[in-house]
Amino acid sequence: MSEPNNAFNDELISAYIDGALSADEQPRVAALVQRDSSAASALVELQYTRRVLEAVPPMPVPRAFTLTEAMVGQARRQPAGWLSWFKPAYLRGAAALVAVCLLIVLVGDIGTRSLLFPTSQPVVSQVEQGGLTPDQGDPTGVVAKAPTTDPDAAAAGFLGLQPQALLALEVGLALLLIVLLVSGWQLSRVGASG
Amino acid sequence: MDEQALIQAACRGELSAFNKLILAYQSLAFNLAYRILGNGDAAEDATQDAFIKAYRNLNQYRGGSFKAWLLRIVTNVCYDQLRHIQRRPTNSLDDMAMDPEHAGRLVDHAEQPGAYALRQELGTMIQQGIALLPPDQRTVLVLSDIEGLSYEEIAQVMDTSLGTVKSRLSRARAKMRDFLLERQELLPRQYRLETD
Repeated sequence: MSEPNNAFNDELISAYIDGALSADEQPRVAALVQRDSSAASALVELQYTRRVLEAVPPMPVPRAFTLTEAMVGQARRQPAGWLSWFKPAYLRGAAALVAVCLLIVLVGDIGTRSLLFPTSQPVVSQVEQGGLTPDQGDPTGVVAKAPTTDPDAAAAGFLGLQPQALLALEVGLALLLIVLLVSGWQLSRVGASG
Repeated sequence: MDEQALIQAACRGELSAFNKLILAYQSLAFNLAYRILGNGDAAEDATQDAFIKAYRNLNQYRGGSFKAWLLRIVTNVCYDQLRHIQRRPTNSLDDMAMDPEHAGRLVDHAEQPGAYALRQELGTMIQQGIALLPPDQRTVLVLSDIEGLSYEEIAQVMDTSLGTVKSRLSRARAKMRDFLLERQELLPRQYRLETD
């Protein structure tokens, strides 16, 4: 039997030992082993080899390989799912966006105030003063309802928001900016240490 | 807690859950590394590295056999070490193959002295034979005949086809057969091939 045939038979017999042959191949190899003494010998030797290898006892583990926080502190994996978006670069981008928004709101707010209130003297509606001006004496005692401006319109500022709402928006954006900057810095530190 | 629950908890960052998985697989991982590298210290390093890599890349686990996924990492770490050693001429693979001192440190004190000596004798002999095989054949032989994995699991670990597993295993067994037959008189009596 030639070398390639031996190798071919070894492969078939090796798989035969493991019961890993197809339904067609299994009886063919069984027949080969019956009629061919070298194939029968190969079967015995390969079965012996596998038996010896199976007898090799496992090596006892020298120590526990469990990980500690200190060990994984340097190798902390990226969090899965939506948390993986919390990366320093993304946080810095978000912080830049929030900073631009905050700047727009501040500039718009200041600009709107200066347009609405060109002088430093605040406009107070006549209604709020009681409806009478000094030259509008009303002997009948009827209060002249002649408001010069709509109170709501006068109070509305940038983006049509009330001053309090604008202030809240500005404070909120400023706080968000701080949170994003601090988070980005912290994540950068963790990433750099890993 | 079952394996899938532990994996999910570990994916959420629970280190204690991942450590339970480590305890379940550390013997298998270390033994595979030891048989591939033939050196206890290198096997310890490889096993630890593999578990750290597994934890780091747990989000890349896409289901299926966790054992196969983990052993694939162990195998790759071992191959990296072998490549690293091959690039350094001062430490040859032959130096790696034999480490009887390490085996001596791994005494199981529950074992009878005679049985331990026999085990060490057989283990040392087998390790010499395994060290003569190319890494791919080494891995497939250890996974199949020593660790008892199925062909399908081995194909997953080695990222190859069933046909390749069969042919590599056949070649590895043939070489190991020749090795054992040439050294019959050196083997413990019960591990010799009985001939009529």
